[in-house]
Amino acid sequence: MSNVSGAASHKKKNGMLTVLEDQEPSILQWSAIDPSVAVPLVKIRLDFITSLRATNPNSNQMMIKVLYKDSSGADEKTALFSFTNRSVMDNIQRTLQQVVARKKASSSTPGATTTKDTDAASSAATPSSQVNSTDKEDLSTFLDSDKLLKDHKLQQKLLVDNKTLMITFKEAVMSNGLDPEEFWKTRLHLLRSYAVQQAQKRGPYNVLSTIKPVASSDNKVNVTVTREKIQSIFEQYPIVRKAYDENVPRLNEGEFWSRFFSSRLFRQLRGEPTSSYDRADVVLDKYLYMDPNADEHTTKESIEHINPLIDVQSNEQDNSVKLGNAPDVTMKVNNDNRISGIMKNMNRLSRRMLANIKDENQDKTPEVEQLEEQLDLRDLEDDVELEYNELKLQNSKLVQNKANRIDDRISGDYTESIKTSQRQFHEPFNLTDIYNPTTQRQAIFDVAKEISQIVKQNTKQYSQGWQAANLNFQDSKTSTINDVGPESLNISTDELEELRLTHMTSIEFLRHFWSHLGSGSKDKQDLLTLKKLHASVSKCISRVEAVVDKFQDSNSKQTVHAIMQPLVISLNKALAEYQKASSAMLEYQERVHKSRTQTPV
Amino acid sequence: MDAIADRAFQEKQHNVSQDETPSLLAVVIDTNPLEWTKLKGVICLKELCKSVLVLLNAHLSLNSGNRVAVLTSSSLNSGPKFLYPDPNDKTYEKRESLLSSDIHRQFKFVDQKIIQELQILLDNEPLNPENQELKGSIAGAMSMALSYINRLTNIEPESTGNTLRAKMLVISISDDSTQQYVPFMNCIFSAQKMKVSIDVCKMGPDSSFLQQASDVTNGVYMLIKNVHGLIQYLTTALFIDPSLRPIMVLPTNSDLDFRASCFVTNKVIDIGYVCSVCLCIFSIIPRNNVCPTCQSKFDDAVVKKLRQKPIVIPLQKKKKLEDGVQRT
Ligand SMILES: [Zn+2]
Repeated sequence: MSNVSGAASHKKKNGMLTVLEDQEPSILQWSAIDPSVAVPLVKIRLDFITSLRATNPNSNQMMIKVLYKDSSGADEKTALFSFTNRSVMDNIQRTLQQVVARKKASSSTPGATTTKDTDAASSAATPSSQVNSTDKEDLSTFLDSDKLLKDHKLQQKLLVDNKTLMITFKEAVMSNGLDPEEFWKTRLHLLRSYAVQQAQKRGPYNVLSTIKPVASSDNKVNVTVTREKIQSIFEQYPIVRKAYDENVPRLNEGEFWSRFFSSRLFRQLRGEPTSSYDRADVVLDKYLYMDPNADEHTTKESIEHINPLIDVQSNEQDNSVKLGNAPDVTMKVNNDNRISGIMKNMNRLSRRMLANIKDENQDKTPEVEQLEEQLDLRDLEDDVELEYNELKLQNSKLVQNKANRIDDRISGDYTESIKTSQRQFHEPFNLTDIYNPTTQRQAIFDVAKEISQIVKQNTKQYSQGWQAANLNFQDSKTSTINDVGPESLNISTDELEELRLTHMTSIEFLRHFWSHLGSGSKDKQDLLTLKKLHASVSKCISRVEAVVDKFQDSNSKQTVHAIMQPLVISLNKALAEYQKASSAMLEYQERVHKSRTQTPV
Repeated sequence: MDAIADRAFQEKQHNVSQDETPSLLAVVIDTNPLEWTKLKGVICLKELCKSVLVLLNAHLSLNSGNRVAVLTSSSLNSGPKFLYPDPNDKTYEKRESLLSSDIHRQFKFVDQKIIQELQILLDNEPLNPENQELKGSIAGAMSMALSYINRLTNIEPESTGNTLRAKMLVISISDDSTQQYVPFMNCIFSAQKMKVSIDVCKMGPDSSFLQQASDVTNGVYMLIKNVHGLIQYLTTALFIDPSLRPIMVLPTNSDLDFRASCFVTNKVIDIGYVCSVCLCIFSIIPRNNVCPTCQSKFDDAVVKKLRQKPIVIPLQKKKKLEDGVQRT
């Protein structure tokens, strides 16, 4: 690809206008055809061009006015070129427009653009065509507790995803004034795992196909690309990396990408047909013709190589004796080159994506693995020693002694009892004693009644849900209030829901209360929070009472009372603990106070 | 009509074939002699033994493939011990049979053996308990029973092809304070993993450990209220075949105490400390900041924080201060 050039006159002298993009810095150059004419060479650095004006396409006059600033940056200068050929002018105009648009988009100092050309200026101000390197923070920052606590967006997302948490949050934070930061402090693990989950990457996919450039009216290409996407582009299309390596920083990064996304190279890699009508790109077009496989040796190693002679599958599919070239579209006379090019591209891409998958066992069948295992020379390998973290469990002497100590009081009884047992075990065993009608009958009858009573009670108490859980042997230990169906308790679903909510909120406050009480912090703010939490815990008790009081029927009231009792106990325990600490503090303060007043000043 | 009858027949057939799988009943008997003295006047070991023998006979009679194992937990002369089957196959001098002569031969074989072993165990007990130490524990016997169950249900079927289900019955008379938490919990979790239900026949005080054992393993926990009806408990509530468990409402006591007990003081606790290495639980911070179970050294800074008395804003601070002002 050559530079864009065309005949144009400047200051009434005929000459050639050329856009020299393949040199650094890129320039727009005009030189007179006749070297004898004493008109100096015009050189305008492309990055100094601020705006362009061209004559109306319908007018007879064909002129382009280039507005630019020289290196001193003081005044805006203009250069006027007139053309004799419309298409030449259009070509140059388009090229220059692109340059200006790119520059505006990637310019780090937007102030450099003048406000004279209001249209251009306003469009430059829109942050549309940036290569948006939204650097996703790396994992280490994700896991930072402070960051997680401040990441309200993440928290909101988590709440939306996790309904139960949302309910707790609403109750505790929104309705009952728990500090949201408090709320999250005890749930850092949730935030963290959620953040990690959100940061999980998907497997490889054709990146370029996900990028949809939007052409705007002024020849700009609007693309938003993340840092990750660029990374995958490099991985999947080494040719782009090569182009990038060779041209950046000569081109600045933004310029490279906006150039790339409007280039034929991009279209070709994406698998779209390119045509010679597409806009040429001096910098990137040369990569179109490079061998895209040139670098492939790096990835090829990981692709299993099978000698074509013995590759049964390929030979079966590609039987030239039977079918000739017929099944292969790419081998036909009237084959469209572009299509086979696309196919090659897609195949190459697929290979590359497969090669980039880390897990090398991915496509090994179990049989293959088994065969490989058999081939291993096991006896030549070192024994793998299992590593355990050895715990030296020691029986607590205290417990042992207590359990084994033979109490003096017992020892008299012991001798007597052991003697009796010894004697009894030398006397006949009459097993029918067990059913003795006179002595045992009533007892056996009572026990039978007792057992069927327990069964009845258990049947009533546990709903089908509990039984289902019981069927799953492992889960049987997790039968909590959640597994109890409301119908078996004579409580409506709504009422049970309310109980659950009250329970959940109370536990929430208790959790924060204890974590603060145990923190040992002397910080005034923390102490105030703790006192607030104490008030909240007291409020929880009245809330529980209110819920229980709602039940009119004495039977269900009793049930509800029983359900909530453990919660009330824990709430009271928390209050008592605070009370204890409070009294201790007061006592201490009093002592200090006394000792102060007693010291004579 | 035909179709329904047909199906009913097939279903019945199916169930019958399922019931054919024999099961092993492993019984652990708490023989701690010190605890038995406490039950004086309530029930004696012999009475219990008689009921257990009837239970075993009942189990053996249900299926010709059924098997039993009986273990003792502890005594002053020996730790956990198999009463039946005899692992060493010792032959004793012929002893006088204490059982009635018209008892079924297979029952007699098992029962005789168990009585004989208990006889030996008791005869060997010292009459003077001074300077004696109790050997063995329920947990020890339970783990021996689990090993045996594992052999019969997992290892032997590999060669013989005979499948066997198993359950365990623990007859306990001891207090939790005489038990060790960690070995106990290890047993419980092993049983859970092996899908072996642990039924508990509890006499004397309630046991939180055993409650948890039966709860976790889908077993039945029975606090015996009426010792004269013991056989009724043993042959009904505590007699449910492993294959029936998933579909039955179990006659178990559902009020559970899930609290753990302190490793140092052995008291059941509400709020305590947990060793982050071995997960043992304390009601107090152990001496020298070292875990008494696994010897891990605790972080001094953390312990210091734990030892610190909570600092709070006193509840009636204002009032007191006003009082103070008035006084001065
Ligand atoms: Zn430890």
